Amino acid sequence: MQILTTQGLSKTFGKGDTSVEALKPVNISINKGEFVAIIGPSGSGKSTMLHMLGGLDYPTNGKVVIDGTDIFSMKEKNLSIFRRRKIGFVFQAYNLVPVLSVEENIMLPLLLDHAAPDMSYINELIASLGLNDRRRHLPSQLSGGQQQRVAIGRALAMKPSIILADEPTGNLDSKNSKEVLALLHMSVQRYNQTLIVITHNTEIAGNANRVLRIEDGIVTEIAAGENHD
Amino acid sequence: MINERGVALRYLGAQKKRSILMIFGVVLAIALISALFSILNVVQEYEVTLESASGIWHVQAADCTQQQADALSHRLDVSASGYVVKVPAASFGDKISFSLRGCDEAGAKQLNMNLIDGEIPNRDNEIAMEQWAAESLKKGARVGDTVTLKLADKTEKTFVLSGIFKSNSQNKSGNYYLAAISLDEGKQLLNTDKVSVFMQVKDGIDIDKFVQNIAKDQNIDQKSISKHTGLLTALGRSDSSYAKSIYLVGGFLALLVIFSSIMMIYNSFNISVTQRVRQFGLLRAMGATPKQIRKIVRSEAVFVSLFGVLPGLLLGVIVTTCLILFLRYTVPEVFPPEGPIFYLSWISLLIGAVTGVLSTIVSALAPARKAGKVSPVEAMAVTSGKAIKKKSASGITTKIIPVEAALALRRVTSRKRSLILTALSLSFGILLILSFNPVTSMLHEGSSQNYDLGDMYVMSSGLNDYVPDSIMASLPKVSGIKDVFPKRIAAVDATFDYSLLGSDYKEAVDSGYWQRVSKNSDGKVKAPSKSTMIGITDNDLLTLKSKLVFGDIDPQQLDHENGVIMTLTPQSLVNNGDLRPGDYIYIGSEKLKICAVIKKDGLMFVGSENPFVGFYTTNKVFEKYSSSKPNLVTMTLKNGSDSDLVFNQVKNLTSGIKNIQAVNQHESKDMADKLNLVGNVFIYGFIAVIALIGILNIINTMSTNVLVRTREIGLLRAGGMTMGQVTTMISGEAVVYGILALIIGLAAGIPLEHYFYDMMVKQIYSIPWSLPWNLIIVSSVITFVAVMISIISPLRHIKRIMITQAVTVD
Repeated sequence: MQILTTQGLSKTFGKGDTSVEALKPVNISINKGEFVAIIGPSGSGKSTMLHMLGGLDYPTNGKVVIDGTDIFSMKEKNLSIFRRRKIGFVFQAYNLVPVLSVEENIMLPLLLDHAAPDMSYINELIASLGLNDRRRHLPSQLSGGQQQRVAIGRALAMKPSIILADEPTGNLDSKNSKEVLALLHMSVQRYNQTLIVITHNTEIAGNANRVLRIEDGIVTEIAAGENHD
Repeated sequence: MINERGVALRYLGAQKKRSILMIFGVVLAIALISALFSILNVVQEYEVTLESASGIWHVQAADCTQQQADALSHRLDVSASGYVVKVPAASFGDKISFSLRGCDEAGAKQLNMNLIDGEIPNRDNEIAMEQWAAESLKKGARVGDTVTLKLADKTEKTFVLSGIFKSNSQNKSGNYYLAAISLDEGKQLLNTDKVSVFMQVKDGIDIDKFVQNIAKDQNIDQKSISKHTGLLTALGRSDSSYAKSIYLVGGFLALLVIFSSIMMIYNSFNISVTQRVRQFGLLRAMGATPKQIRKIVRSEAVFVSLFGVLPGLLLGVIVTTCLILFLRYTVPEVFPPEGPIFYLSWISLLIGAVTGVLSTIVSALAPARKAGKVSPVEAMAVTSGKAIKKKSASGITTKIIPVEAALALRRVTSRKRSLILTALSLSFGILLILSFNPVTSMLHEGSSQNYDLGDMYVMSSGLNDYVPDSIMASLPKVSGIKDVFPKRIAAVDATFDYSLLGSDYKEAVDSGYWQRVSKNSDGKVKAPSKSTMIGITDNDLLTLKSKLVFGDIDPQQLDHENGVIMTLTPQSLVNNGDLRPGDYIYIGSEKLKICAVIKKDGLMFVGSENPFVGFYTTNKVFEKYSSSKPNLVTMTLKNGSDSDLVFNQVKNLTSGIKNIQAVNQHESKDMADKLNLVGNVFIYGFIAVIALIGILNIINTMSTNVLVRTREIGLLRAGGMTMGQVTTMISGEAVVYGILALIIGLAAGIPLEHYFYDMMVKQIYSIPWSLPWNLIIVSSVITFVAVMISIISPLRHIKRIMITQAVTVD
């Protein structure tokens, strides 16, 4: 079942002589439960594409349809609510709210929704992330790897349609990177999550079901296992 | 090559908004301090003008022989002098009494007789007087007219008006007629060759030593030498220096301004340094020493203060000029329209500039030290800025209140120093509004005392006399008169139960301030003096409602219950401030019920110099205890009427009638109102600027708080926080500052207000203190408005920033 499709999605920055086509028109579709890796050199347009897929940035042209909804047809408020409920984000750094505890950071989308959380699910999530003894701690008391685990937990809290991760292991050492990767894998399999990851990590790319390569704004699909350098 | 100062300038340029806010704060502080001292200078000059109304002389030596007088005039330490003799008063008709001075031209100058027309008399049978006095004798009086006065020896003498000098408003409002005749004629009338020498002592000469010297040198009895104490005090040449106390007040107010601006600038630098920890870490990693880092921050402070000096001084001059124009417009009698428009007090400008610059630099010292302590490791930190000190959160807040509010509360309380500084700064304005309230109340009560006798009044000379019916009938018909209120004043023997002497009385007796009063055998207070009872019309009674403190005024109730309206009158023996509606006073065995209590009333002293108690009642009740007919008639004028014209008509009605006098209160009443207005404008203007500095502080804090958290807010928005929720969160932070400011301001301000009120208002006017609800509401509204203003810019910033800009890692 298709969970995400794009139609002629493109992004141009600037106007006239100074305009830069960061992303040329792209048409892709992703099915539920797929793990897609996006690779490419720096400045190729990876983050631009991810931001548009998540509704963080508006395209110059084209559409993004998630779970049957054209996300850019919505008003800003409704798009925010849609993002809260349907999309989970994991960024490279500065993921957490410093004044909220681990538990509160994970529950943040639910708190923003003013919804009563399903505590059994949250407890299960916290346990599976190995953060049980850190629930009340503030982010400043956590290591980088632990902080990313919390970010993953938050991304999963609302059981979103899709998780978007932008270089989630970019600031981590290899041990923590492996742990984060394992957790992401687990979420895909256990919760049938759809996962799109921007990465330079070959191991992550190697574990993906599909790999998209972006270079000079052009998206091409390469077979998983192909040389990604 | 760039140095620390160059870096400092770049930093200021990079944070334009905050730099501008800080500079504006410095501008306000410098403007306020320089304007403050300039106005205090003006006030001192006003006091000098006021005191100079009775003469510009410093020392007077009476009964001097010609030789002594000449010697005194030629002393090196005397800058100017004149000769005067005080002649016994002469009368005009049977109503007007002239104070006569025989003087030469120099003597007239010392007495501040400033000629408008003609000359000071230098021949026999010549007289000069103030313009208003001349006009009251004859309308349109001119030099050359004649006037016949009855001298002290009952002989009549006709004088030629040789000169008219400028009217003195104090003399006019006090009906004090001053005139000058020639020195020789004065000496003849006194049959003496001796004169009084009025002298101005040169600057820098000690007045007391001067007095001792002239007594010794000229063999003059020191008892014959007097000082013009009021003027000398205003000039700062007296021991009980009014000038010194003015500048003490100025110093205190300036300290308030400095304190307020230090809080604002310190907070701003503190936040700025916290925000730039990573950058300072980078500089340290590149090899900058802690001393160099401190120098960067201090240099920023120097630049901020220097950028603020010129605009601040200019604003100070503009504000001073505006205030002086306001004074000239409002009180032209004291601040005449002539004179330069721009007022420049160099010393005031210097004080403003120096204090503004120094307080800015001092504000930055602690943040500079903090910046110097940043280690190079901070440059590598992924999360820049100081980590939150707290280690854990219980999670209760997010369970009880919406997450937006919880985030706001946690954010604000995680930066305790900034929270306290911002709240303190905002609370300062609230504190000042409350603590200055007793001053404005005191001014108001003082000026409203003048309303007791209306705009003008006609009065019999004794309580047993009365205003004739013919005058009573004619007064309402005088053109320009709005209302006529006949009053019957009697001195009666009144008392009340000894048990009603209250806590204030006991306290005053215990402290030795008041004497104890004894109890009669019937359990009532033994009254040490007569009491004043005033019977007035029902309409007149209703006008007393504006002075109501307790109870209600209902003429029918007064008639029905034998009621009275008690006035609060602090006495030397008894404070009746504890008597309340429902209590009784007694005249003989007759009971009179207190139905209402009103503020202090000047008419109570008309019946008795030191009345035991004072009260109003209806004419019907009054007649039971006194047969007095109306012996005082007060009048109010219609708007726009010429008080001099109206008063002349009133005087014409009363002229020729013995034992009746007419007095024009309009000018002194008008002057009191104007001074009240001036006082309020100055006080509230000062408070407004202090409050503005507090508002700038919260604007700065909120703007910086949001700027520092652009990434965090972007993250929240990426995670699904709507703009509405972001607005709630930011507003919540500002509201926390506002609530804390209100709590601090009211908690400190209300007790202070109570203390000052008891000292300034209750002690003088006996009006009991009550919680100032109106001020509490005003303070709350101002705080709310400040809070709302402070979030405008941060919200605009957030709306402008795209989420992607916020969440992208550098």
